[in-house]
Amino acid sequence: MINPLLLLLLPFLLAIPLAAQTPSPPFITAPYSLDENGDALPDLWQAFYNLGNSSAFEDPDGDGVNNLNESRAGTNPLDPSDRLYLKIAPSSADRLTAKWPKLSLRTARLETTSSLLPPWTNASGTPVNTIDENGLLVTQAGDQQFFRVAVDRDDSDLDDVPDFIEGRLGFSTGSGNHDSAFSPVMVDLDDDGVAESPVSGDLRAFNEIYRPADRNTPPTQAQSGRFLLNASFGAADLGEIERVVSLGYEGWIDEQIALPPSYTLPYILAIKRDFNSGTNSPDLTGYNINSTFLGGSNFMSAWARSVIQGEDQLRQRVAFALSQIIVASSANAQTANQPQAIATYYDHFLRNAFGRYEDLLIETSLSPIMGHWLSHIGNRKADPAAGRFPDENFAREIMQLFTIGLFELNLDGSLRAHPDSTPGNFIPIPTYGNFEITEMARVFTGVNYAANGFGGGYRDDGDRNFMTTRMRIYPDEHDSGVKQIPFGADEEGNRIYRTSSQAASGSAEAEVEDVIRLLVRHPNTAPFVCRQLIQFLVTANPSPAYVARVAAVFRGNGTTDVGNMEQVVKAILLDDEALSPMEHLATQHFGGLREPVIRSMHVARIGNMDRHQNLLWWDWGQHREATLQEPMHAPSVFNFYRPDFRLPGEIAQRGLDSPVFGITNSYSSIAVANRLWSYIDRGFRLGSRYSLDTDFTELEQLASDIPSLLDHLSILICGGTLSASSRSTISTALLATNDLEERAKLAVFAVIMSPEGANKK
Amino acid sequence: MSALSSILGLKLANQAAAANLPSASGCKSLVCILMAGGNDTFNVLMRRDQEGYDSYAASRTNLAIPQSEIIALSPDNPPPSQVEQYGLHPSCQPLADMFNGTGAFAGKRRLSFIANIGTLIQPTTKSDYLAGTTPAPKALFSHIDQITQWQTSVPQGQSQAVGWGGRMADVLHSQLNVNSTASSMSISLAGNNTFQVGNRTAQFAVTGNGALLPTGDDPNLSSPSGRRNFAVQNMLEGNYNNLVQQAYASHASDSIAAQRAFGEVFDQIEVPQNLIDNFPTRFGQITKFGSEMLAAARTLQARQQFGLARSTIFASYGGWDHHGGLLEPHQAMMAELSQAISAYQLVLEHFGIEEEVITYTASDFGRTLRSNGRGTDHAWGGNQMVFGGPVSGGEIKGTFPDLSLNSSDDIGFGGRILPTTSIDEFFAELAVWFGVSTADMDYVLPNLTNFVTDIATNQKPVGFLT
Repeated sequence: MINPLLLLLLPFLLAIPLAAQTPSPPFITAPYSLDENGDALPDLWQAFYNLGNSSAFEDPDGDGVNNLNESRAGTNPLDPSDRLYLKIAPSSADRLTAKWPKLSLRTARLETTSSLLPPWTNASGTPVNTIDENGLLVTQAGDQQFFRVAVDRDDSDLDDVPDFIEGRLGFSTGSGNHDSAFSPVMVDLDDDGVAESPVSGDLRAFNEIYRPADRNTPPTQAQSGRFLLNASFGAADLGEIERVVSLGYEGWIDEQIALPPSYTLPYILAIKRDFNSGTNSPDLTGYNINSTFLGGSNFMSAWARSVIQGEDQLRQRVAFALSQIIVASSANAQTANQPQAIATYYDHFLRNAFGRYEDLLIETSLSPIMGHWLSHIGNRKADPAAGRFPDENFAREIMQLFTIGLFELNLDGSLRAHPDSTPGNFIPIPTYGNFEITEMARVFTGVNYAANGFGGGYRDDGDRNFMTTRMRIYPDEHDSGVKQIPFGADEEGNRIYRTSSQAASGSAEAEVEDVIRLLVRHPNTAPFVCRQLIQFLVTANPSPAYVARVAAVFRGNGTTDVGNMEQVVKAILLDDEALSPMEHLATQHFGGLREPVIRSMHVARIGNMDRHQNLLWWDWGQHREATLQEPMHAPSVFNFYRPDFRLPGEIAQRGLDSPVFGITNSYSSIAVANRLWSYIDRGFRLGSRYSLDTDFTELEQLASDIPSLLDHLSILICGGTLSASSRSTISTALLATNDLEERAKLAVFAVIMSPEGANKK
Repeated sequence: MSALSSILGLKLANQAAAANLPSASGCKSLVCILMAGGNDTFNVLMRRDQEGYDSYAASRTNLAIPQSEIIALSPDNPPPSQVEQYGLHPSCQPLADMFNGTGAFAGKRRLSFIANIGTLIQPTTKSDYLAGTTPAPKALFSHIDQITQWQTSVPQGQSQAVGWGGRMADVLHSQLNVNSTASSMSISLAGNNTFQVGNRTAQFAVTGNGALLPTGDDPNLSSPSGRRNFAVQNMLEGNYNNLVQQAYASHASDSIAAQRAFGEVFDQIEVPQNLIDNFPTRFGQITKFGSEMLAAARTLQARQQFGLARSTIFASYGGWDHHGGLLEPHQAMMAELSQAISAYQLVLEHFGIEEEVITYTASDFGRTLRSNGRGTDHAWGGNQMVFGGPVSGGEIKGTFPDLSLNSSDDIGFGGRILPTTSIDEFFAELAVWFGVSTADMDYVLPNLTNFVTDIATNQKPVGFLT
């Protein structure tokens, strides 16, 4: 057994610099006194009760104690029964009884003075305490006596974080070495440019996590780790964290955007060449599923290579989110076992991740993969005499799922009310009906393979590239007439239309593109698409104001620059709601369950799987079976889960969305854990076909110092928020073994399975 | 609430159904076997009389099973003297025994077929369909849609995310499983499905080996996997300020508890080795589908211990999408399917619960009669099986279609057969047996009245139950 006290004396393997080059906010030495907005109320207290906009003299719970006084006592401003009071009643001629509340983790004392002037001293008498009240029987002294209740902010572990807020912050009131977060670091408390004071434990953790942060402030390591949970497949190591610390959020995004995309297609082309030539290049081996053709599962390897090995993490992450909005899938007879075509399709997301939404939607709509997935390939104009009308499948879904949704929205994503709505009877305004679907279906006519049109032919992703070349619009089969395209609703709730025709656009192909551009400019598209992107990248329940800010950027903020994804992604990731730690604290439901595929990739990144040049991740659907998620293999156009799925229980009762819980059931919640463990312990392997190990050497070097190991993983996986109680539990398990490899793996598994690591907030 | 109850959280009284209590007799289970991908069932059940065979063989060309290889079925109804004689795919001897009451099922006819059944919104003739005068199921011939519609029984294509089994559970569970320790009556051996999820019903998924538990030892500090599970499971028991973290932790720990509770009962259910040996194997192991069916039988035996007077079970066997080659893979898969089904039924008979269980097959659709040179493509109607003690075995119910290309049953494009029996009629007969009240039938099967005007007076629309 390692003596825990000795561990503190070891050199700190985790070198955490004090600040980035640009000025950082000062170190916070008294967390409960922090008042950035200068409203005399502690920011923390406001965050606990989500009262950021409530003033000092308001009294939301009407208990007669205003916010200022509730905050001083640390009582609940929303609960009239939780307040500071003093009840004094005569008990006999010269004695009185004073009663005042017991407060959790604070000492409330009775003080007295004879003159209303200091000094106030502790009143003495005979205690008559009850379960929830303090009581004192006081004997009169002198002519007059004044009483008041004083509250001490007890700090049993002397870490400058008062006991009564430690629990709310996930900290500990104890001073144990293993359960207090963050090892000591020298801090320049007197601001003389020299770091002279060691600060450790919860106070340091508080600064790491809650130091005010916005797009212009250099982030801490913990804040950078948290940011990378949103903007990447999770930080692989502290080097990636440091990159964010040193560049700042926006600088990091700019650097990421400039990186060349790591496409998925080159790998598929390489194995295809290898397969066709019979070379069996040692650099590529292990992809071959059967002897007659390349299997669809090979796309998993291509995708994992991009995500695990690619430097362009932000692009990869945004592309994966977009692929879950504009959904096509290999779960279909026509698109299965077409890895080249699927890769070609997916690369549209990578190519356009920071481009324009309309370009992305045009390319994906005209991909033969989408053509098969939503059956508009081969769609012909109506022949009423023959009883033939265009297929409406794609026409419906491009509206319902890729652009405008079912009901008219306000800019902030909320439903617009039909003017006939009355209190208690909200009437939404449908964005389209059957007529508009049939009109839209007429637009997507004449769509077919570029190479062979309506002449038939064998679909294949073979040499003639039927499945990889953008489909064409054949004028002979395109309905050239005038169509009515829905474009919002007026004040009365009546639908507004724009017209479209082949003649107006100049060609059949141009008409299709124009209609897609029109849909992207429909008033709904900005909030509809942006809210989902925020859900994927930051939080499942963004505030309406957050949605509105991002949607305004999508709309071009008054310019013609609509759907500029670079600006949209920045607006999402750099919004105060995404970055401000007080927002996360104030919003009890902030964040969301991390997607299973993202967690799988994150442990692979931490486990240095990128060092395998010949990375393979294909299986026969086992990942999908366990987690209900596999890139480009959604079971339907409705993706793996719906953005508005609500987990039964408190989430649903509060009307909150929890998309990823849509694939979390009593089976997958365990199967995901087992699979994550298998990846951590043994890397990627498939029977005897391939075996690619993880490497946790770096963590093993830390593993003799359990607090440092957990600090490290907390930054990478939890944005620094691994709670004292989780640390304590994990530490207990880690201390039971001296095997450093076991410790490293166990710690990674436990942290990514912890409530702080499985979810992001 | 027990752990099972809290995770599945379903003890919600059905207001609408409370007024008319359904029949609560006995212990009943309904088992669905989904053959995902579209089983070419016109190569499973065939006519072997000359006239019927000739039209079959002419349509199927290179994919026709030789007449001499078809296993004879000797159905009670119609009588053997009748012109139409039926037979089964040569790899289906176990099914023929279940149908004929021979072999392991001597004297016990357990199996019947429903001929040409499929998704329909309302009765539809070929001319209706071609003229478009009646609404057709959304996205016919599409896997994802048809596989869903077979589970929802609502082919209109509204985003109907719940299945008819789940809707039955919505109305039955709170009334008939009053003493249950499990609060879901939907048990899946094949992961998530639509069939068993209701508006107020979640499903409980286990594996072909029973409960799914965290890898390794139970939580302890003396073994590596025990330490791992110690750390994680202790954290999941904690309380968290953030709602999402709390929801995750509660859900995960409840899942483990629910799986454990299931496993403790399931693991005690023993099956004699000679009956286990009946299940299909590959490389010395029972196949995945065989395992699911064995687990289904054990789960059925366990259900009484969970207090489940009503339960549905879901198993799945995928890979029937035989575009690129039908005969060989179909032969192997039908052999495995037949063997597993027969072995499963024999376990139920061993447990003595065969009168309490009805099992049926479902599949996306039938396939085109015309060969595409190698295999067949997506079509519509097909033949399905229903078996168990309550089933009047040895019968071909529904109407076997005319398999000539462009016949009155063929909507065209290569022999796509228009169903003559709707899944609603089939499911309604099962639902009545299961105890769904007349008043709740509209909730369970919203399109049923298009086919059966009064289920109270016409309780067996297809007639496969004794």
